[in-house]
Amino acid sequence: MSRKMILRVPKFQEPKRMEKSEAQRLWLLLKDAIVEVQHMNASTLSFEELYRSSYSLVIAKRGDILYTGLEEVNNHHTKNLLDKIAQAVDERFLIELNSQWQQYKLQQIMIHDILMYLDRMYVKEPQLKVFDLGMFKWKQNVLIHSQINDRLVRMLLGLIHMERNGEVIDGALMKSLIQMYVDVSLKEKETYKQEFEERFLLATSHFYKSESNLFITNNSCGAYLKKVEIRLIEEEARIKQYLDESTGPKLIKACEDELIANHMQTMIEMETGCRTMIQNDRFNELKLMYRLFQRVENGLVHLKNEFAGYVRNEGHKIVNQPENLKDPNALITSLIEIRNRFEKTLSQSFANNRDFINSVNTAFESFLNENDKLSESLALFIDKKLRGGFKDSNDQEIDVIMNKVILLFRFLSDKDVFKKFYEHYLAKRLLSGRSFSEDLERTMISKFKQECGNQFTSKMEGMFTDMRLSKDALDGFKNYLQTSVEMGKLPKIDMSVRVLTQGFWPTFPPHSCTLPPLLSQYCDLFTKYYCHAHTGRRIIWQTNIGTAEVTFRLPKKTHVLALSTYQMLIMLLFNDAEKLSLKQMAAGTSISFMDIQRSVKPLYSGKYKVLKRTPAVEKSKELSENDIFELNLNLKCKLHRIKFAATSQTDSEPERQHTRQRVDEDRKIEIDAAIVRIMKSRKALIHNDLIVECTKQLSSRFVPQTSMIKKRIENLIEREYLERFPDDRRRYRYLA
Amino acid sequence: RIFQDYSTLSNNLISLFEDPDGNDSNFKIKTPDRTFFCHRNILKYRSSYFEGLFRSNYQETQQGEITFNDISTQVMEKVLIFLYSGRVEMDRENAVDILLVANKLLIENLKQFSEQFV
Repeated sequence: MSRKMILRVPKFQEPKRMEKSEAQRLWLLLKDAIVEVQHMNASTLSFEELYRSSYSLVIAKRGDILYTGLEEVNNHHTKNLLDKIAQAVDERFLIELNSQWQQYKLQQIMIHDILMYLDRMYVKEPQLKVFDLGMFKWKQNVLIHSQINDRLVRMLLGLIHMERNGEVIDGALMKSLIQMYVDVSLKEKETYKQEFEERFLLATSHFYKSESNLFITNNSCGAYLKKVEIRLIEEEARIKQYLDESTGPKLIKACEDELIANHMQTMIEMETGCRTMIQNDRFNELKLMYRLFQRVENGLVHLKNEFAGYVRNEGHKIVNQPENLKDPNALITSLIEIRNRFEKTLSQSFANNRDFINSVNTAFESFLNENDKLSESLALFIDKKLRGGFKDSNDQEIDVIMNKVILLFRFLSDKDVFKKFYEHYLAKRLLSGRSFSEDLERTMISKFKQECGNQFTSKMEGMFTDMRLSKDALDGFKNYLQTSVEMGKLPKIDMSVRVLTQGFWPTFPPHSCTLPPLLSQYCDLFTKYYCHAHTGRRIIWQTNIGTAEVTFRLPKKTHVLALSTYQMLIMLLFNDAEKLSLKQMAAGTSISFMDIQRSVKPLYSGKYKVLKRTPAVEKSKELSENDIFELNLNLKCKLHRIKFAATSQTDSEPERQHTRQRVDEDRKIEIDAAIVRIMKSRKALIHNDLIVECTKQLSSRFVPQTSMIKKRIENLIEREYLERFPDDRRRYRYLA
Repeated sequence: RIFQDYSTLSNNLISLFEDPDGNDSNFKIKTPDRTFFCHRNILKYRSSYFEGLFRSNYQETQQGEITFNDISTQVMEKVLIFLYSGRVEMDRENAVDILLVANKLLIENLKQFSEQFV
């Protein structure tokens, strides 16, 4: 086949050239059809004929006739429609406008379909596409015409206003008319935004401004919150029902501004507001408030600050209540209670929001460290629990309490003070055999270990080891006694000794006393035995924390008295005397007068009195060294064994002072170690940096005072660990 | 995994077009000497011309048939087979005619094929 054949003109191809008259004929044909379409008479028209006519015009390069013609026809038609629509009165206006618009839109699709070839092959930017041209003509000649636009917007806004006031309106009509603004917008919904949306948002703000002001002054905060929530749901529904979705965020923002943001301060402060809700644990209302405040900028900050402020205030009250200052158990119990209460608020109302939790924790930190009582109180609280307070709780309850203890502990800034007190009371429990359960003791310690590491609990664990080793040592001692030569000469007594490794245990203030010869001999025997078994060790007898059982023979009855070692020594004096003054007791035992006072007190003033004061005076009167005591031979008691408290239950002030002093000693060592550690790695450092670094390193254990750090630095310079730079006195150098 | 078998699909769709019963056909296309029995939905998705035709309620849509006086039966058949199956046999004889029809009926792929061939 030759190439000529390819170029052969197909027999059905339209001629390239077209007579002007032919073009005119085709246009008139199309124009008549368009007018018919505009009168809804399309069903008698042939699509193919009309399409072919427009196609032919475009092929013959006469698309211009068609396009300009179309513009004119649309122009004419829309102007006619304007008159028709503008004449409609009242509600008829919207209905007439809508029905004309729906028809017009349909017609434009039909016109577009027959002119599709024109649309595709002829129309070039900036000319409007056939359908857009139709939309533009409607906008120009109908929608934004002064007789229509303002009237329409006012009526639409009026209907929305009515709906907001609870009346039912025609949602479908609204949707169609509002969508019209979107449809006639050529790009980015500009007509919709300019002509409708802007005014709608303004009306919305206006409506909610006056509604919210009125409502909040006449109702409770709770009722207002519910109202706001309902309003927001309604507006969300409104967006779906008849607004363009692009308005959604703007509408909601406008509502949130008027309904929430503008009233936040009021909702917090008003009588029924946030404060009252927190006070009264109104979890649901707070939850709603949280949800709503969350929607606006900085809303949660307001709520959080208010809540944290309340927590701080409540905590402040508890830690400063006079009754609580006297009763550590009540103090810690109340703290655990408010902690539980606020945790409930956090979870039920504030979605356990991290920021909220953190600010509550900060509040706890601040009031828990307001005074220095808390470390000791917490240690005493646990002491009481571990002495039997847990007796009636099951494992789970115990675990809950222990975890709360750890939680409060976590907030303490001076954990070392707590540690000292805890060790002190642990030692007392172990030595007096008052610990309720070794398992629970160990559980508690393991929780501290988890929290603070090995170092924190190593001494406590050492105490337990000593207790175990003491038992072994005592068994060995008993065997030794049986084989010992000296044993035959001595009357048998049942002696129990606990060997406490120095360093693990709190150092008890040194006291001295004279033991009766028999006991003294036994002590020597034990020392001999023990030092033989463990060479290089030295034993110091700590008689002030010991206990003893003595037989108390009365004319008709015999009792066994469980006493402290000191009390035993005092009672033994009465073997040789009928009456003794305190002064004589002190002389006979070499015990300090203060300890005599403390030891005697339970013996004559408790429930069972083995001593009586002669002559009898008021109980409360302070003891003086000349007060005279004698045995109470009329003691009435059904028990065989009578137990006496060694001293008063809580520690005396000097003991407490002693504990604190030891904390300070330990801190010096810790600070020294920290400074040396830091300087060793940094070699040279400016004063302030060293202070900051040092405080940071120690913060998990305690908050060191700057003055203390300064003193330690001076001390280390003296001891030639550090030196100042000669040219810059504020810089230190590490001396290896 | 996705398994694809366009050629069977294509053949099956040609059978649909050529089905002598034409029972479920819902639209007739007439050329001067033949009537083709077609399906609105296939035509509508394959050609913008038919899409517009079926969208707007003109005479042809109501009557269920259209007549093309400017398209020959042979070319019409080729074009319809393409619409159904995506396949077209072209030779230098009919390429230009096919191009003209593809252009008028706004069948973009077919227009491109035939343009390459002309």
